[in-house]
Amino acid sequence: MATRASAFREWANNESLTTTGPIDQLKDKRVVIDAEDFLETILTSQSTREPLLPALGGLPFALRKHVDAYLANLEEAQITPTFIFNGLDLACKDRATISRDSRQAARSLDEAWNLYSQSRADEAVAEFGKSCNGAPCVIPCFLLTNVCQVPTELTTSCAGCNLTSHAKE
Amino acid sequence: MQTALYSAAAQAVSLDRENFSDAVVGSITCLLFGAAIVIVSFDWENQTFAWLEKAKCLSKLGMTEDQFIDFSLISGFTILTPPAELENAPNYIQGAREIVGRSGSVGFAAYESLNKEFRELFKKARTAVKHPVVLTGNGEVKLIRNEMASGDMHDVIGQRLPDEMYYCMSRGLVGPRVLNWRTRSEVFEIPPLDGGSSPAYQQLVTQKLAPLRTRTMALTSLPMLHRYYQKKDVDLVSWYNENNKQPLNVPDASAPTEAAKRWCVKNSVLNKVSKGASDTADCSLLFAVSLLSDEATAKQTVTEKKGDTASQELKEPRELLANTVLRFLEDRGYINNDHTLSAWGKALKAAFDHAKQSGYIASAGAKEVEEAIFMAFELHKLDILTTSQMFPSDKYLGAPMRGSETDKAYTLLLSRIACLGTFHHKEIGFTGPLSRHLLGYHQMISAVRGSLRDLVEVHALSMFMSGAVSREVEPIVYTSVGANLPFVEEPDLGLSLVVKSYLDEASNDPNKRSDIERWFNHAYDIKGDLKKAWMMWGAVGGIEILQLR
Repeated sequence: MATRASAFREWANNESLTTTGPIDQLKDKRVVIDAEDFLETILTSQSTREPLLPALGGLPFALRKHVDAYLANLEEAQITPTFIFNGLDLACKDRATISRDSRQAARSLDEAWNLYSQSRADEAVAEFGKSCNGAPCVIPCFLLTNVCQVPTELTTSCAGCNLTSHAKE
Repeated sequence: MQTALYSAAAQAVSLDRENFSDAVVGSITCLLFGAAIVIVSFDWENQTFAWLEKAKCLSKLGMTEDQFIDFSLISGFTILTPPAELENAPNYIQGAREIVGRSGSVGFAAYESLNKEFRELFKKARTAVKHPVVLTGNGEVKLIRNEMASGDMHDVIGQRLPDEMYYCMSRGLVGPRVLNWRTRSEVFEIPPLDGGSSPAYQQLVTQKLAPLRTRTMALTSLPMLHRYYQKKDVDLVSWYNENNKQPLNVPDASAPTEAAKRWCVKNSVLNKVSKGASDTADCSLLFAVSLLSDEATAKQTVTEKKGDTASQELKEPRELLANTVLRFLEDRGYINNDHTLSAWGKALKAAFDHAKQSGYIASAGAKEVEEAIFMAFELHKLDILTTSQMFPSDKYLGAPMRGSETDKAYTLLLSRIACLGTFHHKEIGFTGPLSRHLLGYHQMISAVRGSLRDLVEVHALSMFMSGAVSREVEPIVYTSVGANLPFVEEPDLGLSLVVKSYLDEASNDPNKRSDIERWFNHAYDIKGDLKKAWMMWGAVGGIEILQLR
């Protein structure tokens, strides 16, 4: 299922609002990456999604491959990334919202299992695939670890970023 | 890498504004938080990238900047779920445009036609966009446009935490989960992937894991949190009965802070673990147990009184990791007060030794093995590593089905244990048999693993914030300690499905047996994976912590 962020992206594309340029314009540049959007894109886009993820738990089988390839491509293009993950919940994400979203996902998964039990495999896979965007917290946790262990100076890419002294105060 | 205080997009835009980067990569949420341009995709094959300019979006939508903010929120494209009024709209963009256009004005009062619940959240979201909380490049926690902010910002943003705690989170030493519980004063359990309709799961998260959660949160209280938090309790609320608020009694709980303080083990002692043993980063649990298995060394690790504090401060990444895990293991009952291994600790050591001798560690790797064995112990202590029927068999299909009742019971137990091991599968989506029955159990393990991860993270946080750690430690060390703590990676259900399929077929009539390798199209090494599962069983079952019930 396309996420809402990707629906906007698609709309912007269709309306010719996006501009394209050669990657070497970004050579030797630093970029900050919204890691939540990055992850959601991997989990939901047609070429990388694994529809049975919610039936198996754990991590998508090709997640590491996609992340490594992305990092390798950035490195080759000589772009230095800093990934930023979501922290605390904003107050506008209240319990009612979380509850509604999770119930909707649970209903869809229940339907997927019903289809599976009726041997309607293709329909079941499609239904499972609708719940791939709700990344369980194990995935960002893994990604954070994986990205962190890449031997580039990701964490110190903020030049002059004197965060240690902050901890002293 | 960095964890934002709140929204990743807001933090990315803020860092970009401070010139720590040349561009932001993300979605419309970055435009919402003030980016003028956002890179939305890379096409590596054609060596191009695509970006989106806010000005172009505004002119296409025919909106002002303020209208665009409202549109981004109402459409559900960013940080809000769209209002019920939009749920049936064929097109969220058109629907949201109409709502914004119809209103004729912007901001809080403009959308009287939308339902009240949504309008409340809209107000909070709009304020969060106007006043994002970010961590500046020089480490300051900053409320943007603070001078214009109202006095009740905590209602909009959430309760404040100490700056040092924000810092530890931003560096990835601790995840946002437990801190969220504190600021919201609530743990909200959502349904697991299987749906969570079994009493066993519900009992696990509301009763069996509750003391662990309480202890984890109590550990954040003193001396780290403001008095507000020390007196403030946290309620547990579950998806299946949201009206029932179960107090977790956090203010009354005792935290193991005194016991934790007695761990300040320096490298000179850590080096006593015999050479050739695996190092802390690969297998911190195994390392800790090996260290303490020699009683004389164990007793040397007790730090009774602080003498020369500077010389006792922990600094090396290895020390930080080892001491966090030692504190955690004592908290979980594997280590006695005098730092020798408890009966549980000795049993854990025996299981690790078995894994070494059987070749399980050599074949699966120390990290996977130590976590699998440790998890098995924890599941056993919670009395859920059993053959008992936990899931409604009519609804939860995919239970073992062949052989005698005893055969089925063993198949079930072995498949359950196999949920703790990894599955070698090609880097492609899975095809093969599924089992909601086993997924239900996998999700119970997932809940336990998550709670243990929370506890070990909070022990690290407590250690860093209570003066045991040198202030000279580099930012990268915070990140690496967080990354190397156990329970990061959750095995999927693959190995369990393989074990169950294999044993079910082994219990089948010999003339009717199928070759299960044909069922798992993209598995790398079914035979090797099965062998691993038997070794896992040997290490866990071999020490007789399990009895068929």
